[in-house]
Amino acid sequence: MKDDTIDEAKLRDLMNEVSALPTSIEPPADAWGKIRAEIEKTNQSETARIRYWQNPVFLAAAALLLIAGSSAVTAIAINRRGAAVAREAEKQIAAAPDTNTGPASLAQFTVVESDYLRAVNDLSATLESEQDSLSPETIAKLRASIKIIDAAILEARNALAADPANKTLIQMLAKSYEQKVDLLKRTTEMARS
Amino acid sequence: MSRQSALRKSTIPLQANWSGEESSRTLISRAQNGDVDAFELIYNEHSGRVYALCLRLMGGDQTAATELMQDVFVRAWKNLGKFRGESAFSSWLHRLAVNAMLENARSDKRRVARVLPMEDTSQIGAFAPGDSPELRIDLERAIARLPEGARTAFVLHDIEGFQHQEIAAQLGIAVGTVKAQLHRAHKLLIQALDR
Repeated sequence: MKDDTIDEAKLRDLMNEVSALPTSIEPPADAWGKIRAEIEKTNQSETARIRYWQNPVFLAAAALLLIAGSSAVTAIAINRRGAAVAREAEKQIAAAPDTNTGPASLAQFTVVESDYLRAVNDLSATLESEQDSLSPETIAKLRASIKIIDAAILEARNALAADPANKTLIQMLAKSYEQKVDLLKRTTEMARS
Repeated sequence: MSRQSALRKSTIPLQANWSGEESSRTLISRAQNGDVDAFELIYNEHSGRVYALCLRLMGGDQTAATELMQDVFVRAWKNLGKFRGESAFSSWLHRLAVNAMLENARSDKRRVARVLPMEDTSQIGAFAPGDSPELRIDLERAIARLPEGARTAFVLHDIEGFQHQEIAAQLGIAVGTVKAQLHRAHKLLIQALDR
């Protein structure tokens, strides 16, 4: 059988030699320069990412997208049923839930998102079957508005992938879904009236 | 870089070169707030030990060791916010180094080729001689030539002072495996150095 024991004296000698090894060895002189360059690159991309989502211009643009969605609903309503319906639509928009009370985390939102998606699918199917009762102009405006809201949803989704803890983005995404559901719901009601 | 200048032998605690623990914390705090100059001072203090660890983990390959050390400090910068001071900063850096080495090993199978062959001494110039130059170089060469698992266990336990449990946790292996690798390393080193 193979002897697997180690001579204790030799092991002690080895450990003595090991304890005398240098614990510190000077790295190449240019090593820090590359680290610093990498850090600065990292900082720049991080700053750019933060700037993108905290930039007031972006936030204002996102808000405009949402307003555009609401305005489109109003415009459709005016075309279809006149000022009385428009006033009613404005009331509904005013009564929409405050975004500050929306989901506080991405995990919470993911649960809510499935409800939004189900509602969107149901309403889209209903609208598809009843679109003959709407004018081509109304359908075109509806599609344009949906496209704008979908772009906002996609933007917010992509941003959340990079920054999942950003509550503003979560609320913005929730608000975009609300707008989409609201738009589809009111258009479906118009088609049925 | 000469062998003599390469040696920065340190038998004193890592943070003793700063003016006390408070200075160390201040530097880390400044770096956590984005001060790259403060991070450079941290690098100056710790790079020698981290590089020595990387050089030994990478079997004496200076290029690979330098890349690993750079990776470690970039990771340290990115993760500074997570350092809460529960452990010594040097231990935290060493854990980053081991994790980086393991990740690199998983993604770069070619690393096996970096292990020095028996006759190749060209890569071990970085290991500076001390009081007994031949002994040191022979020992460093023998460590570099160890099989990867045995070398990692040996470097972390016998040179860096990690406990079996800590090494097992870092490498994701059983404590018994660490002990077996260590035993193997001792046996191979004694054989290699038996004059």
